[in-house]
Amino acid sequence: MIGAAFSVTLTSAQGGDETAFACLFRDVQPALLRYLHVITPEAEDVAGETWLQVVKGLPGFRGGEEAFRAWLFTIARHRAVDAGRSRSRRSDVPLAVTDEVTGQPMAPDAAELALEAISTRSVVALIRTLPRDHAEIIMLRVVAGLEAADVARIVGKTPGAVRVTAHRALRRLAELAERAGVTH
Amino acid sequence: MPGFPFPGRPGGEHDEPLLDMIIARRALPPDAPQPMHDLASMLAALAGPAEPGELAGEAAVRAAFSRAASPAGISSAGRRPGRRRRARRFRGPARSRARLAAAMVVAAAALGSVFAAYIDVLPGPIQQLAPPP
Repeated sequence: MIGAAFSVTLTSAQGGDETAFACLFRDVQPALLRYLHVITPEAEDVAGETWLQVVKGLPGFRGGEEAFRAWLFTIARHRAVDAGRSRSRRSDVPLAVTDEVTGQPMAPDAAELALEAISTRSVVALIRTLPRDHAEIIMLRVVAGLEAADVARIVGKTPGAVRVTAHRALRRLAELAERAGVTH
Repeated sequence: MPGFPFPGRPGGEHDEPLLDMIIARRALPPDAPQPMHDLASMLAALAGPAEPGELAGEAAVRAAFSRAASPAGISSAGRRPGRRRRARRFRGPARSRARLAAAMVVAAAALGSVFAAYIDVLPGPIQQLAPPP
């Protein structure tokens, strides 16, 4: 999160300052990519489309850092849904991330996870094994740093349901992490 | 996992304050169960700074930004009137095609009537109006 400097950074970016825009990009892009890796197999492409839409809409955006992140992740989710639709039109590939051979949800290799300890990649792989809505809520709450109300708007649930789902997802994640040996 | 409450196990809801602290990325109390600390560490890694490759798209995104922010980008954003001009240009031929089609229908009907009158197959009263072949 950029914090107190966000307002100035945003205003500069809206005025055409490329360095300020790059600051916004570098701040959000890691969380955006990690979130997209959980919800779509085309994370890099969808991230690129998301930023193009952000560039177009940036001059008209009004709000603080929380609102900016919520806006950006909402765009990302819409683009991911669009990508999933066009993918299913092309080849009837299911929207959920699945193993191309077995059609089963991708499960990280336990040995690989243990070797990688708590690397970002291994944790993303572990979260991808959770039910889709659980994984998405974890990513939006913990990684994107969005409030429950913002996440609720994005995923179409109530804030209470988001909170309950996040708790369930975290408990399940802890269980999976212990089994896979991804512990500190 | 000893000492860690999972769904369906006794005490499953007592962990909620700790889970909320993990979600909010706040430091857990030292006496929190070790699995909670493990979970917090794991998620802290996930919310960490960019790793190699994660900013690979920056050049392309910056290029898109500078195109949109430049005067050329602004004028290209204002190319919509151009698209309108193009649309108008295409509207002309479309109208012409419609007129041509209508004219061809009328001509075909006229020719058909003349031919029908010539072979004497029009209804009686109308056939009388036609000049004899």
